[in-house]
Amino acid sequence: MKKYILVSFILLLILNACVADSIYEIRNVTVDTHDTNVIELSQIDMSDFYVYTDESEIITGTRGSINNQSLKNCYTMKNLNRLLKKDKGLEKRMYDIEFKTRNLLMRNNFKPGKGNGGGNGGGNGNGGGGGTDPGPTPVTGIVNIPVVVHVLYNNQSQNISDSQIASQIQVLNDDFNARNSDVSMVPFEFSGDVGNSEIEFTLAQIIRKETSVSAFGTNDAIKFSSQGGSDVVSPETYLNIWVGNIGGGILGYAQFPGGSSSTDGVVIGTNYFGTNGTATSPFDKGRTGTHEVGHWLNLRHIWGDGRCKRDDYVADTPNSDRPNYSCPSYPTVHCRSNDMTMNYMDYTNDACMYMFTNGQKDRMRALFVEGGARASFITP
Amino acid sequence: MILKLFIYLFIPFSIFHSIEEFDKSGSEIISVEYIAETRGASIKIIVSSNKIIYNRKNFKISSKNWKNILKDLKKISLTKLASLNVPSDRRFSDAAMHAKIIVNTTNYKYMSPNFDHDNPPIELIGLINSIQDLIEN
Repeated sequence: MKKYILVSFILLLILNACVADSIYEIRNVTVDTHDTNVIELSQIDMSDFYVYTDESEIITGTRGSINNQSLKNCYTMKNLNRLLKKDKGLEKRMYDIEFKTRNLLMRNNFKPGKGNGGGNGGGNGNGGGGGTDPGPTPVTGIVNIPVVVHVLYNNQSQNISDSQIASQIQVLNDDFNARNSDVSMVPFEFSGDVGNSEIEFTLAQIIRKETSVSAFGTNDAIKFSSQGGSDVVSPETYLNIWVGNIGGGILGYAQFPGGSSSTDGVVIGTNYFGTNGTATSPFDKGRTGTHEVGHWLNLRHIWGDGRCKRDDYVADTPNSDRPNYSCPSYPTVHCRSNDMTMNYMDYTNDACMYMFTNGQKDRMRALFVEGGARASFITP
Repeated sequence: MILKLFIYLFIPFSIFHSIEEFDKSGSEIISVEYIAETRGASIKIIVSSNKIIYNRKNFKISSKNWKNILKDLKKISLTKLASLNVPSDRRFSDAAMHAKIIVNTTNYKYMSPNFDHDNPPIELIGLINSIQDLIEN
């Protein structure tokens, strides 16, 4: 019996210690948050940011304002450090880009919620907010992106025509400027959210290369001459688009800002590029290109690649926990709201996606401010 | 008093314990699914004791092969399936299909997180290879 009492007491002590510990942790957090509140400048919540993730929601529960200066010690960084092991440089660069994006959007009061749907169409107008440091100013007007198209062909039919290439450039210009004719199909619920990104694309060069590679896969071989592909051209000032046979059921893939410059750009399968020639239904309206260039401009999938609470870091896109395929009827409900299945960053057919939102526009354009990940595209 | 203390302390432990046991023994595995999807393509494989459904077509399965699948599943903690670490996220930019494993038992449906089709969590490699072998035969 004595033994039981002893064991019980030891267990009690351990339990108490745990409880005490957790109280201490909570207090610590409270104090931290309070401290950061004292320094008013630039409180940016990075707690939901992830590059690599499992869906066990490791990073949640740490919501709260985190100050610029305290970022290094904050425990969201611990998660990040754990994840950084996979690709330390990339992770850090993507984190920095995300931080800069949020910093800019917050300072300039871009709160792309339902309330200001059409309100910030010009992308400017609210000078620098919040105190002494005005921070970078948003870019105004049209952003022009020169494009290099690499055509890799294993047979003559894959050596697509100039006209097919021009048709893809045309689609990009229409879609990133809300000039696409099908934008009129956006349901009333989302009509105020339609974003005109004011990003234009100009074909600068076509590089054609015959290759012995019949299917490139997604390991970026297509981006290197040494592997049967074609080397990147000045990725600081050109969007590189590689067109070739990918295989494995992949229509196209992209690289987010922050990745290696030797592989910067997007890859699109020959049969899913442009609107004529080899373009194949239901992916023959050039929207694979729009979707991938969206990623290249830092957009995430609209459902956030996770469950309901996983965000795409854009406030005016509804929560969802899955991609939508083919051509869904409206409304399609997930996570207790109507999915924006017609957004370019969903997985619907080309004919069934026809809008970016204002929030997505702000996110893309944030890359072009001074110090931004794609600022080198802005000619002074 | 001592008895009360004893009860308070040990009842929670014993409950946890019994849940674990229940999962291991009380619930029978009915089927395991491997699903990989992306824009324009999907792979759906459902393996159960009496058949394999591969992209909506039915195939036979031998009892030996089913036992092999069960053996692979035994090495995986079903209660931890949802929280497995995912080694890469190439699917975020469409460079890989979005894949997942679902295990249906008589009592529960266990689902893994989404992972890249070509790079599953290390714990699932054995099971996925076995499923792959079934399809290839």
